Amino acid sequence: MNDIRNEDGIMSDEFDVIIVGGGPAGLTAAIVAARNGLNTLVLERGEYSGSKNVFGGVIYTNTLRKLFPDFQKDAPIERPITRRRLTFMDEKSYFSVDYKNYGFRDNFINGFSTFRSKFDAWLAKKAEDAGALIATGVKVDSLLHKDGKVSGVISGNDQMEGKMVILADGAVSLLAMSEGMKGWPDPNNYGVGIKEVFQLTEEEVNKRFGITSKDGIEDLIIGYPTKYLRGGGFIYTFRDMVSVGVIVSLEALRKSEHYAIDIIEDFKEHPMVQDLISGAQIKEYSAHAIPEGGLRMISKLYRDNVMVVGDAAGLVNSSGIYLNGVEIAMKSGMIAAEVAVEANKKKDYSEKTLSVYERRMNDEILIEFRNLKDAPYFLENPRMYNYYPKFVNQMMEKMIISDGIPKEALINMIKGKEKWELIEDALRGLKAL
Amino acid sequence: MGIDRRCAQGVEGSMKMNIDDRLALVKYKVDNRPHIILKDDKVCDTCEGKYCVHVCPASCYRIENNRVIFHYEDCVECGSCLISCDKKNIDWNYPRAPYGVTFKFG
Repeated sequence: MNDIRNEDGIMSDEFDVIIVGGGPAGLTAAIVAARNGLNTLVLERGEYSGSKNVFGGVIYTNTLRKLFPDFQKDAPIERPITRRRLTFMDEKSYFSVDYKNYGFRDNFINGFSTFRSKFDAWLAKKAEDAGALIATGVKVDSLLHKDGKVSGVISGNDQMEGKMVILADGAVSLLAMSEGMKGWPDPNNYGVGIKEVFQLTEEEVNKRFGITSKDGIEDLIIGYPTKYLRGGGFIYTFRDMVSVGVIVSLEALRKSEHYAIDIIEDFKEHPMVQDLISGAQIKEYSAHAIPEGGLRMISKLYRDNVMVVGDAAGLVNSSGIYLNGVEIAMKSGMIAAEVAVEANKKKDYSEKTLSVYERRMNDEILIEFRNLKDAPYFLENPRMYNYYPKFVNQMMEKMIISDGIPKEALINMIKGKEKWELIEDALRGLKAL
Repeated sequence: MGIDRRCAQGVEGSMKMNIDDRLALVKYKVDNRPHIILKDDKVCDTCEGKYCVHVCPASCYRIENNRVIFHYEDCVECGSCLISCDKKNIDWNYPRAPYGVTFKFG
């Protein structure tokens, strides 16, 4: 970063906005800010954008399309996701709800699979093209303060001044914590995501998943993958690769007898997964914490001269059926930058001006979190993981198997107390999701 | 590219790998000073849960002779230990740039 500081190690210019973290939230903010003429600096601690990041595999495209209507031309797209499955799995069988939409092949409405190392790097290039300055290999240690207000950032012996700072420093935002905008993390609000990526050929991916090269699959799997602990397994297809992973609630995991490192390996032993990855060469192992507490864990979003976006603010919708972090991160980055542009016009970076960010977040994003506000509580119900996946599979087996036992009406296959629990949980689920 | 019908480890029918082999696939630039420090060994010694050992996906926390032994070199910077430690006994930070993990397929 010698190119952007003078001999004394001090930035010669004051930036309009300094963005800490070059992931989807920070880079989207940078693109919008730079396009509107703001003097924008992005500081990324990784070797390149995307080098420290992990996700399952899919970018939903709503915000991306607003930023780049023709993103399909050069975005690092692996496969459009045309098939979504929700699977209940026990040790020897699985039951899936399988939805396919052939319309998703061309319009990417349901998103596409990619790797963060490619997608974030692509987005960083776009931010540079828009005029933002991106410094990689720079870790921000703390924020700079003047008269009790944030006035920039500190990295090692360097200080950089900015009229506004946007914190986009990810799931474990030490900066938002040290600014008192976020409390000590609660294990009930986080999961650990662990992923392995396997190399096949394009033809072999098509064959094993029963799809064409125009298709891709997202499969979210409940029950067996996480040892019946709160969380789920996932499988995504890439052009010639497959990702297999698990997300386990840290609260459930830490209180269990299981270990994070074993859970994914045992999931890989399931016959369904075996059939998909047998013989494939493993390319990488990766892991990251995921905010999944929904509304109850959202940080303070703004303060004089500061806004918090993306994972740093806890903005992940992980309500089971929906699993969306990157898209919401980008949307929050976009809104924060639009507010920053207005603040810059008014030359007023106060809490009052930046409160528009929270208001717009409430109207445009948090409404979805509020609609699903009961989901985190509903999903805390251990029966969701340790009972229903087995139950569904046992019911299927009883219905289908030819064992000479006279078949019964479905409702009579469920015993008295279980019947009421099932009805109660089903109603709660319908309401929460 | 042909597909090797055996599994990656050569044991028919199993794709399981031990954690050291999995971590060998990850690219690190290791700093000579740790970015995470256990504040007080005594707190770990008397900790009943030892949750860090359960949640760390890189097996940086291991139990040897009933004590929690921590090594930072394999850390993937995920934050799970910090979040899970009730005793707040982990002085957690990201590595100095440009050190730490670099994922290619994250």
